Amino acid sequence: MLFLRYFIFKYYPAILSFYYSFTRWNGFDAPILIGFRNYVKLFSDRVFFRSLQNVSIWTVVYVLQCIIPPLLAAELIFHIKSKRHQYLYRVLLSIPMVVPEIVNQLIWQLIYDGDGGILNRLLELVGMGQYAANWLGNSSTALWSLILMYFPWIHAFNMLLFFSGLQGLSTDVLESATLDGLSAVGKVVRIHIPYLLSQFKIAIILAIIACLQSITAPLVMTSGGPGYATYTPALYMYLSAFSSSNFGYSCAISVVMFLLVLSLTILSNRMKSQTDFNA
Amino acid sequence: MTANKLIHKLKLGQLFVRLSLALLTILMLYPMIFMLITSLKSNPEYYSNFWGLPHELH
Repeated sequence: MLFLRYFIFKYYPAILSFYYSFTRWNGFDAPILIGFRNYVKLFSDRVFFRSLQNVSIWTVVYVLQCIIPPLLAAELIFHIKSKRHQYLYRVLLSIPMVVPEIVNQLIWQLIYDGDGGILNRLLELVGMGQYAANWLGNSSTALWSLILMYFPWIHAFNMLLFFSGLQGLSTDVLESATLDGLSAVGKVVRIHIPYLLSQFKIAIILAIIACLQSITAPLVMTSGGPGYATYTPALYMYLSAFSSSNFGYSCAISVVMFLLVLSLTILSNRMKSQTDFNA
Repeated sequence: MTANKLIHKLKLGQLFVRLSLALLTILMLYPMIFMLITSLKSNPEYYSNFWGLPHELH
């Protein structure tokens, strides 16, 4: 029964999009088979390459954002002596997780607002008013504004993942390291980080998939603009289906994206099995 | 290193850890705190008193 539901609502539409990617279809009339013409058009489409370029920059930075700040937060919490304060900070840093993503994005739109946004007022407050800008309305800053959103990037889920990993570390190892004269930083580099490798790999795979499929941030905050500065493939797929009524082309984009995500996932999985020493 | 010095160093380390965590937490939660404060202001007060606490609940 569960499989039937999955088949009807998940697999069937996904498989159908492979068929529609070979057609010209505006969503209402009968689709016309046109062979590989959508794909030929796609691989000479400069907007598509621009969006691929945007999303690759974004993915590289996002993977770093998903690893380094949460690890820093998890380590800081782990080094607090009092268990109650550990709990307090864990709860405080997890609060952003319960706020809907769209609310966060609207707040950040307010922060980046060119006309009296929080960031511009903050710059004026510290005497750097000449750097104030319309962050999302300028094609040279829009993409980086979106990428650097959610500063200081403490991804709550990853922080909890790393923290629970650290809690699983046996105290014997840490004690003997202390007796051998390893400093706190040395313990982090030599023991904690190698121990957390499998958690890092899960976080990296999830970050790559989430970032390649990212659509709400550019859709809500800039709708791809100004120009094509913040286009991502997912947004391009959405817009070509629902604003240009070009469903066949949009299906071709989604097929290419599916193959891209699939190959990246297989690649990072292979990397995982090669270096997994805990298994 | 005497015991006294070791305790001093440990306390300094704890202070550093706590201060940086508090800073990170405030930075992380500030957008939500701002939203909470601003939700209690009227529209004119939002423009005249951007950073401050609301004078009267709206």
